[in-house]
Amino acid sequence: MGRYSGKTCRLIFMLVLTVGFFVAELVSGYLGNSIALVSDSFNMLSDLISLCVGLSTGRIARRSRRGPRATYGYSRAEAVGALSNAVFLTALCFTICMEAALRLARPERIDDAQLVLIVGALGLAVNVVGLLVFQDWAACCSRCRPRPDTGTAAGPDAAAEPPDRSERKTEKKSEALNIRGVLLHVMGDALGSVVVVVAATIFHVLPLSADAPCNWQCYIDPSLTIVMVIIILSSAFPLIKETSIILLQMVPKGVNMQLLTDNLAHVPGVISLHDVHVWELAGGKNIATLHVKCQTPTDYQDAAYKIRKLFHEAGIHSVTIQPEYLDNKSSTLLCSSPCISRECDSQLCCSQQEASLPKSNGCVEKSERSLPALPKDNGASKNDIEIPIECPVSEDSINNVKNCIMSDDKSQLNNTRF
Amino acid sequence: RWWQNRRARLLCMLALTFLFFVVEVVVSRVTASLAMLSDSFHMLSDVMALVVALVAVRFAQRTRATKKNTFGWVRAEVMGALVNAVFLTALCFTILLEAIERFTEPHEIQQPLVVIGVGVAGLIINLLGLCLFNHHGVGGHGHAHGHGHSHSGRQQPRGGSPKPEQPPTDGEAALRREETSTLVENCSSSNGVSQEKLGDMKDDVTDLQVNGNAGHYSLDVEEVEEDSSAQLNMRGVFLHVFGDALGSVIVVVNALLFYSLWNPCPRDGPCVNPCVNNHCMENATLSQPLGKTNQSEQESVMVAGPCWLLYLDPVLCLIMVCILLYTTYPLLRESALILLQTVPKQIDVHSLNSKLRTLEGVEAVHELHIWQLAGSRIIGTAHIKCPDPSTYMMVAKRIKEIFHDEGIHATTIQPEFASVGSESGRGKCEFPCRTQCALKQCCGTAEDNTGKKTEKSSSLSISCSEVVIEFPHNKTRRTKSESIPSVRLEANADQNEQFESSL
Repeated sequence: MGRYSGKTCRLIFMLVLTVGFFVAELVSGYLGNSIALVSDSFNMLSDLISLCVGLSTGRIARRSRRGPRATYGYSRAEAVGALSNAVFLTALCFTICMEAALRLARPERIDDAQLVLIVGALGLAVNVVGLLVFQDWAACCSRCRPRPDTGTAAGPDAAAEPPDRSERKTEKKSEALNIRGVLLHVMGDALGSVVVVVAATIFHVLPLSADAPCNWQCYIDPSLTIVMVIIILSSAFPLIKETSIILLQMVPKGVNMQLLTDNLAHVPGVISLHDVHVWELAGGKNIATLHVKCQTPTDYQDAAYKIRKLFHEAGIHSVTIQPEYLDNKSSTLLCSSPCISRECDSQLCCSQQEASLPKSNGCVEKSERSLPALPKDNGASKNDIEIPIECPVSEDSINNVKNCIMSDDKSQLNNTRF
Repeated sequence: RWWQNRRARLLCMLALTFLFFVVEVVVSRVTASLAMLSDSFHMLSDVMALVVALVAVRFAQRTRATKKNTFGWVRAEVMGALVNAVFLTALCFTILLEAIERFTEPHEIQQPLVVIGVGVAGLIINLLGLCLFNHHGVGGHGHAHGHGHSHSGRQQPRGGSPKPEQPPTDGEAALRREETSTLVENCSSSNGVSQEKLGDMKDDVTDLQVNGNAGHYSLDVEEVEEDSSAQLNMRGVFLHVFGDALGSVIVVVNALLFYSLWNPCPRDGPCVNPCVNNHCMENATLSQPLGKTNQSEQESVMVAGPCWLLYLDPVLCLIMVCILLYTTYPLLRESALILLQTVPKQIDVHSLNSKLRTLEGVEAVHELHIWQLAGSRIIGTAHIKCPDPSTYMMVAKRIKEIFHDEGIHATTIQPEFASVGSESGRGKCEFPCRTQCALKQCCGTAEDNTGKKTEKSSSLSISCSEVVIEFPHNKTRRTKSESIPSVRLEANADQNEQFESSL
């Protein structure tokens, strides 16, 4: 979209810095024939990869245009990117752990402690700079971050504030995931540099002659490495958990399904609900769908507004409601129109055969009312079960349709006929 | 047939691999071979991949909705596949790094015989694993298991004559629920292949495959059901085992060649190893001819064997990494696309949209979302605008059929009714959520709509408008946001654009 937020600016800066240092380390490692330098430069390479993943998924997510291939846009890319980064980091930790175990089995000394110390300190400096850059440092890149246009630029200030702030907040939330993935890598690298510096310092201060056997000093490096791996993993798992909540379509945090369905069931006009689904798209955008059984279309129309209000209060702003009307054949718990045939049951998101547990599908029955005998239209026998045509599709319901108030300031105020 | 059960296969392979890992560690301690130890850790990574896949399978079998997850856990397998694919990529990365390091500092293989022995054993285990998981292959084709189910991948002829009503064949379902027993004539009998609804020949699009997919899916609701998400998961495991097998092949080949061709430095006597980059050696040994033969009479210094052998290992590793990355990328892509809520590739949203819009009684369609939950469970939501409820009733079934034809069986259709005078203007959402929530809605702001304006020129899209009976005093409750919509709409009207998303 051509709009740079602070996030992209920071990522690009880190990218440039890391590339520079990677190249420098690689070159000096080959020139100086030090394998430690070369391997440390590869740590930078993994940092680089995670930065690229973070950047590219951030860009994909921001460009989230809805299109024929993705009806929700690609705003979830950041969650996927964060998960990939976290898993990548876990795999790297695994290999580091392996090498540390190998070193424990066969300890080696650090040969050129001074060189390693210098390079380790430099690497640590670069990583610390990276960590600082990623903090919420408003001074950095404030010029990179123009005011995001929400389309209400002409609106009054008071009204422009909430959209701006909420947009910033939602951006922050999803950018938090993305940046956290990258931050984990940088932190891992920083910890690695710390370990290198500590080990090299010990070897520098207490040098070990070439022919002496390895004493406790040789075990410092692997054991510190294992401690570092534990630290990194313990901070990677929360990130994995959070992205799983989004990617597995779980109910977002902060939404209490039990309470919500209870409140929904108590909305007047609603006989029962089922197939209630609430999930988070990405970055605080929650989506809900549900099927509602009502007696008449009027009931539904009354209830629909209240239902949406309830969802709004729960923080869910995109709601799709499918109304179903009762007939005396289907129970109040089961969906009247799951699909056109029962054979498709295994491909429904919630199998109808499991609907015997009233609450498990989000099916909540409000009360046992006696079902009125709705006349059947025999000509449309196939239609009956799913969405019955009710004879008293009354005049008042059609009138109600016409009487709607589209509270649009521009027009259509001819309906206020109450 | 236990071997058809995914969990059984995974557990079996897990046990085998772990056992072999232990064996390799012990052997490496006995022979003090570091290479063996590092190779054993590759087996450990295999074990981890299998554990991830197992966990995913266990989760995914809980398809029932819970309080924490209203969809059940069916997506776990897709996530497991993604995790495995990323894990494999990371391992490739580290192998690449090791190979590059080996280029700069080549090692000799110590004790090639032991290495050959263990390598062959590992190769056998990996081949066994490949056979176990080969069912799922790299191409991701699944099978419909057992019970004489035919593949639903064929095109069905249109049913011209009315078909008699057939009860469904899962008998217990029929017994359990008489209420919906009249639904059935559209999906056919035992083989789960659905046939065209009688008399309706509206679409030129192909048959009513149950999920519209050219793949093979089974509608069997038993636990042996191989869904495409399960296939993804198994593919992840297969690729890991495949990578490990390639690694074992490389180890064996390398060790064999080494054993047969290498002239090692004997323990006694001075030895020149020209292959190891040693600054001192460069000065000292330039005068000595290098090669396979031993030294001439000048000095009885042995020269270690052909140098290219030492570079064989890294080169083979590089080739292996390339192969692995090439085969992992499709899996990564597929699972990522599912997790990104994209439209499944076999569904064409444009044609679906136009089919819906050309129905009689449907004025507009907006907020059409199609996404794949996992496997063949595809979910769709749409807002359909009709003139009044009775029209909607008539058209509702047809709408569901259209979705069903595309393979979308779990749909939530929200009818919206136009009011008088709506043709002229843009209605506004009657939600309590208006513009202050616009950014929190799934399809948020107006800037997303520019891409869609060309298709919707014929239909009026009143975004998410509903018939809500409002009393005038209701408006005052929302005065705070009153001013915003008008501004927004004016802005949009100026652009003369149809927007179909919610505000």
